[in-house]
Amino acid sequence: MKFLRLKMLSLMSVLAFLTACDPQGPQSADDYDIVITNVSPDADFENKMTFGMPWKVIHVGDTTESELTEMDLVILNTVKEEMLAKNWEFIEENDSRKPDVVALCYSVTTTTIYTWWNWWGGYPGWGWGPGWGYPWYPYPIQGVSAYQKGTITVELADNVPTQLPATLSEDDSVAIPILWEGLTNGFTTNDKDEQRRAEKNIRQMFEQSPYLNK
Amino acid sequence: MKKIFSILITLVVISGGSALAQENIFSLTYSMSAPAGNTAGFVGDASFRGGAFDYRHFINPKMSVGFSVGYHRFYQDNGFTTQPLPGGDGHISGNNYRYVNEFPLMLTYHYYFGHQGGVRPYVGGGIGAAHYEYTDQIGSVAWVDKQWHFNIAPEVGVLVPIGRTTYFTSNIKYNYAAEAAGIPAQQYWSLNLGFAFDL
Repeated sequence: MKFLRLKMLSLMSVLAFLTACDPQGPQSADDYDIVITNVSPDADFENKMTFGMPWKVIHVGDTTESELTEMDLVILNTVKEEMLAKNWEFIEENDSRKPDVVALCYSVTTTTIYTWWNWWGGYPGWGWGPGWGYPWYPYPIQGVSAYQKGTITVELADNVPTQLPATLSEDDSVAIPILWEGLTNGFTTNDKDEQRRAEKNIRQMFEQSPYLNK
Repeated sequence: MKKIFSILITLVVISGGSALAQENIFSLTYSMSAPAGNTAGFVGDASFRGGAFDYRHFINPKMSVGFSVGYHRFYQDNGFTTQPLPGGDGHISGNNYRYVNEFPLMLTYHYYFGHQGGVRPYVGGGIGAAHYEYTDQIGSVAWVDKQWHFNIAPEVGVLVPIGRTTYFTSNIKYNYAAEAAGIPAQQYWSLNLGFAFDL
């Protein structure tokens, strides 16, 4: 009799094991990808037709990076292609015309970032000279909280001068003319597969923002 | 007269022996569930991951009281989705997975038909609480809600003896968890198959 009980209990165990083997949830790195876009409720894209783009990705948390990496090029090229695909006109940096918006690309390379003020450094000479001007330098990234390492951020900033107080604290409130931002995360090695995912996800940022169409 | 007396003696012995044979049983069942109502609105797919442990004490040959604990996991892969950000002016995209993990804890009562030692259909149910954990996941981001609900679960089932102290058991339960803390009532049907044993 005990043998029968044992058989029945074994049968139940096997059944439980088999059902537990059925995979559920994310199975690959792609499945964990997220693409978030935010648009300012005050943004008016109707009257904005042109964009400029500093050919650099800011590495937040790792300012020693000076040369463009392969991942940086993927980010920059994809953003530019998507803006052009939406019929925005690209304004070269040495053009005398001033673009309506500026596309800014960031890559977060620290593990976790809480509230902080960072300066839009790394672009010496921007906005000076005969060409068009980016927003007033320095330009702050405000209060991005707890973005994980491996987050790529694309912003479209209104190309208007931003005057900042001489000294800033975390309690200060400063209006930053960011009209739109896109975020995607999960990029830590920047290998070929991550470059493919980054390109796919940056394209998705624009796909889910039809109001950027011209 | 002698014949009648013999029959009476036989009946007393049979009923007494049977009562002793089936005083306490426990069962282990595998559970397949079909969500209904609000649960189906959140996760529509049927669940094949679940189970229950029941203990029943017979207060007389036709009635038992006991308790039941269980686990059911509902899951649905919605594929790639784009949704508005909660409370924001934006959108979030990614593969969307939804889960409901449910743990019912109930006191039970059952009424049995048939005779001890034979096939015993029964009706009954449980009353108690159920802990629900709701997860709505997009990529690496998940919104999780946890809530205890008041829970009732009427059921019909059968015990079929397959050995002297072992039974095959099957039942169908309708599980209803009442609205709690702003989370609407949850419902699902479950078909349970397993074995029961005399203690």
